[in-house]
Amino acid sequence: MRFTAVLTAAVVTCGSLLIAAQQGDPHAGHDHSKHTHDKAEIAHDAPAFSLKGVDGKTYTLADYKGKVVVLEWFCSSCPASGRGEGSYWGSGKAAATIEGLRKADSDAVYFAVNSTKDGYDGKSNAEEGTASAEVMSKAGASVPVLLDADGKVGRAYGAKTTPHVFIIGADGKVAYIGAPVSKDGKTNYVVNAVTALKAGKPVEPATTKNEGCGVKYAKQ
Amino acid sequence: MKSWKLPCIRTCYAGVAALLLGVPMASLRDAVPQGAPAERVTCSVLPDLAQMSDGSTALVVRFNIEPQWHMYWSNPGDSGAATRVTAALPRGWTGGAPRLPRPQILGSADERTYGYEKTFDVLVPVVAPVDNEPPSILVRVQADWMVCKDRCQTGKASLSVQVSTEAVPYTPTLARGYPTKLPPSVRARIDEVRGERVLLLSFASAAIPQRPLRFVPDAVAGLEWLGGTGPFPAIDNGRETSLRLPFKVVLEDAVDGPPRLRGLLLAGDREGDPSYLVDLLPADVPLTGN
Repeated sequence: MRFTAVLTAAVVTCGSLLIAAQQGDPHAGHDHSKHTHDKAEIAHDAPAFSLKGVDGKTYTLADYKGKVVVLEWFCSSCPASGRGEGSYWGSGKAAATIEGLRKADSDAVYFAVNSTKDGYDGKSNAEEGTASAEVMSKAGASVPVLLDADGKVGRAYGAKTTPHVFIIGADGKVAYIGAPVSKDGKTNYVVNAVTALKAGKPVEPATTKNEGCGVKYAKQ
Repeated sequence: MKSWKLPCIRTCYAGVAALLLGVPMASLRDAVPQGAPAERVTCSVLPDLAQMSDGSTALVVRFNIEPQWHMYWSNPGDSGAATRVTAALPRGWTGGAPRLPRPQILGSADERTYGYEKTFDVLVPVVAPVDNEPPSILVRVQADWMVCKDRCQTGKASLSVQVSTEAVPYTPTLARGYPTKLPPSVRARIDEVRGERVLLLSFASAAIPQRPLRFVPDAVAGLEWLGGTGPFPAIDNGRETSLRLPFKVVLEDAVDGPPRLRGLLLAGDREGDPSYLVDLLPADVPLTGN
C-alpha cells in the first residue's frame, strides 16, 4: 500500500515535470518568487529608465519617486494613437485623460514614449518624436515625448501597441497596464487608476486589453 | 438549385424598389463602404440571406482585403484591433452575435496576432418573425476595423442594403470554418504541481481527435498567459486527453470572482480543421493561496 502510494506520487510528479518540460514552461520546477520578470508586471517594481525627450531634457524614472507616473506608448502615424480624428489623440480622448489626470492628482506626471525605430515611415526616431509632439500640441495637451530609438525601454515594459499605457504608483510599482480608455470611450482607465492610487485604493481593473498598431521596434 | 433567371428578376424588382425607397443601387449587389474611403478593404453585404448547413439563417458581411494586408479577429492578439460588425434589422427580426471565422495565427514570435488575409465573411445569425417574412428586408450594417501591413489603417463602413429573405446555401470564401461550441466532455481545472497552480484542459480523446492543439486566450483577471500559441503537447491515455495551458494562475488578481477560462481552442493546423469557443469555469479552484 505504502509502495503504491510512493509509486503513484512519483508517477504524478514525473508526469507533471514531463508536461512542463515539453511545454518549455519557464516556471516549471522553480520557486515562483525567484522568477525574473522580462516585462513590467503589476505590483512589481517598474523597470528603471533614463530617456532623452524631444525637448532635449533627460527624464529619469527615479527622479519621480513619490509621484504617480503615466507612460503612454505613442506613434504619430498610427491611426489608433496619433493619426487622424479617430485616434486616441485626434479624437480628444487623450486631452480629456490628461485634464482628468491633473484633477485627480496634480502631482502625477504623464509621458509619451516613442519606441519607433529609425527609418520607419521615412523618419528617424527623433523626427518621429518631433511629429509626436506636434500631434500633441494640436490636440491641446502637450506632454513630454521621450525617445526610445533602440526600443530597450519599450521592450523592458513589454509595450506592444500604440497606445499602450503603464501606470507606476508613488511606491515605484506598476499599478496598471493596458488601454487608456475603454473601447466605447466611456471609461477612462487612466483617470480611474490615478484616482484610486491617490485615494490609496486598489486599481481595478489593474489590466485591460490594449489595441492598436504594433510598436515598430528596432531589431535587437 | 436556383434558376439563373431568378436572381436577375429579383434584382430588378429590388432595384425598382430601391429607387422608389431612395436606396442607392450600388448597395444591392456590390455594396461599398459609405462615408469612408475604401482603402485596403472593401466591405459589402451579400444580397441574399445565407442558409447555413445547420438550418439557421445568416446575414453575410464580406471583407475583401488588399493583398499582403491583414485584418483582425475579435481578439487581435499582441497588436491590431478587433473587427467589429453590428447589424440593425427591421422590426420583428432578431439578430445574434456576429460570428467571425477561425483566425490565422499571424506575425512573429515577438508579436502574435490573429486575423485574416485576402477575404473573410462575418456571419450575423438572423431569425425572421414567425408571421411575416417579406421578400426582402432593409438592413443597416456598421463595421469598423484595422488593417495592417508594415503600417496600419483604420476603416469603417456604414451600409444600408436591401437583402433578399429567400436564403441561398452559404458558400464560404474560406475553407476555414467557424468556431463552434465545445464538446460536452471538455473540462477545465486548476491544479497544483510542485506548488504552482496550473490550468489543465481535459476531454474525451475521441471528441477532439485533431492535432496539434493550440489555444488563443482572452484576457481574464487571475489567469496570466505566459505566451505562445503552441502547439501544446497533449497527454493522451487513449480515452482522455489532458492539455496543460501555459497560464500563471494568480487567484489574488481575480477580483471579480473565480476566473473563467475564455479563448479559442484550435484543433489541427489544416484550414478545414475545427476550432472551439472556450468559456469554462475551472473546477477545483484552490480557495487559499500557495
